[in-house]
Amino acid sequence: MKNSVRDLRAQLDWTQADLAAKLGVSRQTVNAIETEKYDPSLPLAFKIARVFRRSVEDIFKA
Amino acid sequence: MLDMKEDRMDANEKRYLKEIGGSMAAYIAMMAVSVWLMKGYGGSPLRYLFALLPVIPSAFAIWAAIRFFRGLDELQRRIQFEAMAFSFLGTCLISLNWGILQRAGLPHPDVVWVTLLLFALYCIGIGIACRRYQ
Repeated sequence: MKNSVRDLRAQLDWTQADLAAKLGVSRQTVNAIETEKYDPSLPLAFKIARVFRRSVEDIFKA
Repeated sequence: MLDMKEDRMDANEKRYLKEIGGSMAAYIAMMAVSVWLMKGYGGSPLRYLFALLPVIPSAFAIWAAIRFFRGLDELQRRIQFEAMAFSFLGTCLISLNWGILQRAGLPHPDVVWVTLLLFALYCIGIGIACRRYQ
């Protein structure tokens, strides 16, 4: 699944550690999502959307 | 806020290391006490009870591990699951085939080796799973 997490994070000038802290996950998890090696669960996807103030569909594309 | 959440992630690891370290230390101490008691009560049925003394700190180690797993995030839990599945299935395969080969003349190792094999395959599994999600 494609996602724009890395771009959105870069726009806000956050580090992976910053985003990981906001989401309550490890930096490794943020990295795996950004590199599209791991698709987050629905609750985490909603959390990501909430953090970036976007909809899940805006961030994640099949 | 950021530091607090980072600290919480670290706190889970720190707590686990503290608890598992304490459990292991208690295990070694109980093992020494168990061996000493079994020497003194060699013929008594109590020796079975003494032999099982190290089970108490082992139970604490299991409890510490469960608390640690509950504190992990979803990807870390997946990594643990994949490593455990690899370890479990690998141990089943090796021990089953070894059992068959024993009939052909391979040595009969101690059951303790199965635990060591489980742990070794778990470590390999963690390495493979971590690499996969890097």
